[in-house]
Amino acid sequence: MAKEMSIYKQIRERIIDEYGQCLDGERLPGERELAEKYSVKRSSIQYALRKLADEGVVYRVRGRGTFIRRKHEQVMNISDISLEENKGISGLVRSYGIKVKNVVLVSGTITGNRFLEDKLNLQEGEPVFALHRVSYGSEEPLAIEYTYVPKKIFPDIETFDFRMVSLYEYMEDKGHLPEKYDKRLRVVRLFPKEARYLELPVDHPAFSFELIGVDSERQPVEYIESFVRCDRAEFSFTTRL
Amino acid sequence: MRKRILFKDEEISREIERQIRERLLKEWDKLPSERRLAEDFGVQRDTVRSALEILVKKGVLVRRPRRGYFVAPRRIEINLNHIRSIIKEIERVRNDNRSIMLNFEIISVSKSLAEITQLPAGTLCYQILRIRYDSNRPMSLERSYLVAEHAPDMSREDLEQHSIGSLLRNRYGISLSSVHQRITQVYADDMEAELLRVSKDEPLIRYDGMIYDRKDRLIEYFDNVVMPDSIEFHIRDFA
Repeated sequence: MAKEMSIYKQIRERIIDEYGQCLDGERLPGERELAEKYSVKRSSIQYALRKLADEGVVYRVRGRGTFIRRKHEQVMNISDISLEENKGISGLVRSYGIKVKNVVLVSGTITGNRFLEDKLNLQEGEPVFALHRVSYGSEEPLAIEYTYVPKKIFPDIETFDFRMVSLYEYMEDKGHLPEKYDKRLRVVRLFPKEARYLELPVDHPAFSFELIGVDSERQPVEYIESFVRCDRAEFSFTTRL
Repeated sequence: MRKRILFKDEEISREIERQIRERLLKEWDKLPSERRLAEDFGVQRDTVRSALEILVKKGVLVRRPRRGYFVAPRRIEINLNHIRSIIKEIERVRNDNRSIMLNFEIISVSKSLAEITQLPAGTLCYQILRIRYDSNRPMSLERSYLVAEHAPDMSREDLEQHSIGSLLRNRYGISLSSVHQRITQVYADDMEAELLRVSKDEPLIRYDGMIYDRKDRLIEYFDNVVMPDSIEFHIRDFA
């Protein structure tokens, strides 16, 4: 294992030196060619490429090869979440020119969850509508977004199919679009369920967002928990006096 | 059959988290046993264990082998709305943790640092390296680059006795006015791994940023790597 690690480190350095400046999406030579070039076994190359993929330096497409990813090419500004056109994490991602496809995992009503009641400032027993989605950017899973909204503000929400209708257009229609947010950002390790959806190993680090959106009357209208792949984003923010 | 929205373990983990947030359980309190929790929630022990593991990964609980689960110390919250909160955190003025200055030297800005800071390569800076401990556990490794021109004749002793903020204000008449910062996830390099006592390639948060004064001059660039479970960032758009 130790030997494998040190060969890996050398290969890693050489690949980054040689190909690190390549354009995003540029293809690396095949495994066999790299093995010959660096005079190592093909299995070492495979190991190195797998690790580099874990780190987000390259990405692999089955049957097509390995491609360079310019790491952190997307610096997302957290304050942009509050802008009209990019609500939520997928909206934020979309605003950076990434084509986002949302897949609804599950939706429905939850009652008696005191954790969610607290987040949304609800009385005990008031129902919450839940919408769990995965966002894909360029065909890769990018973020999981668990959205919870108070049903008393959106009583007919269950009659809408959010595979077809945008949640924020719906909220705007009802006159309760989240206008401002309370945002918390942490780095956590992925739980099995989220790891599966993000196609990452369990315990892999991920950004975890907790957002509470309030409408123009400062009433909480949504609570979001979101997990975002660390290797696909970084966040910036400017504070002024 | 209807799909479950939240699984039982997810529900229980949130309920335990809520109780911790409401201070029904405090830092380092031991949680009841798995068996006891299973009885209280009316579920299998496996479900409770899975709920507890979710909270460990979230950094809310700490597991001690053979001793059980404990409430993790609260994350240090950096409030990105207020420049004072940021400076305070960066300067480590907290009673419950201590920092040790590992190195103080004058350097000239390298090409890579010049690229980040937009300072001309060769600019003289004080480079300060500190490690911060939170109850004896290494929490972050903090590098700071102060542009020497704006704060001439600063010494290691000055920094040991005063905070950077008060030195800048009182001795050099500099008032800080904006911070542009960035949050990324990185993996520990050899030095970081050794000083933070983690294995190499352990995930860390990199929190770096530029601090400007009222005249929009870059005064300091800070570059911290922080243990992921010890910190959170908070922004609030409304009062």
